[in-house]
Amino acid sequence: MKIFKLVFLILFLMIGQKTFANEEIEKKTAQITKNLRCLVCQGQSVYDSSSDFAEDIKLYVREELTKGASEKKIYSYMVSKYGDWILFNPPLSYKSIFLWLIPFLFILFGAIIIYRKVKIEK
Amino acid sequence: MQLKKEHKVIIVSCIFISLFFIFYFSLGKSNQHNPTVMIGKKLPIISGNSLENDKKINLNSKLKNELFLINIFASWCAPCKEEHKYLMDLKSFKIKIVGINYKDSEQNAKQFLRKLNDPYFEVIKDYSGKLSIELGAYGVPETYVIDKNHNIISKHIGPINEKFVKEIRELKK
Repeated sequence: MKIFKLVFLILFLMIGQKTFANEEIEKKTAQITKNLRCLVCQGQSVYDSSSDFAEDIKLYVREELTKGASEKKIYSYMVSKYGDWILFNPPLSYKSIFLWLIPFLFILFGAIIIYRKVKIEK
Repeated sequence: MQLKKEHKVIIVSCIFISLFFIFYFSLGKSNQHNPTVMIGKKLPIISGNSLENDKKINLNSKLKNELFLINIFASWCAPCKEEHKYLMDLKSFKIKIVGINYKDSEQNAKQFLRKLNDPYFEVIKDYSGKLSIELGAYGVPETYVIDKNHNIISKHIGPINEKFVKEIRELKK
């Protein structure tokens, strides 16, 4: 009876561990695919889309995570195949520097206008 | 330095007019993104099971020292039927085309090729879509031009046409 209980406990732990691992992989897959652009859709992420392209990418990400690949490796593989455009959050590069600087330029421009207005009114 | 009121109006108007033209001309631009990162790169390892006999094929070792095309197709894809006659033309000019059968069923793909004729030198099954990702593809049909050193020299998204056939014939000369 003791052996039976022990076997049952081991099986229970094994199943529990596997379910937990699957949940972790699903969570990570969702997290990564939310930051990948669906290239055949209009402004949708891979996570949100059910197009063939998006389904292929989801499957790829899930399989790579199961194999133990890191998030960084998956992103760099995607960029090597589809370019920075596939990322919703593109890295800072000479091509995207203007995109990153524009909001700060607008803030600066607005601050100068407000400063001048306040100074004139005084 | 204080700007005169007229100068301010001119500057603001110029900014708005420029923005108007930028947005106006952008409206006419295609919003389909064509990733070009794979162009100029070495052909990745393309291996899979043959549609004909299910045997494992490694394309990189099978085709050497000659220009060839890789065409991603599926029997359910309407534009693939549209481009089929051009693929047959290319075959008649002795240009080797490797087909990647994307997310299809063996039976339907074979029937498709029986009905429309087979332009392919070899067809590799890609029912999981992984080979297409490896090539940087995102739909069907897509055609890649591979030179004799196994570099990807160009890619064509959508059905190929007469112009494409002419370009490939020129390259083959």
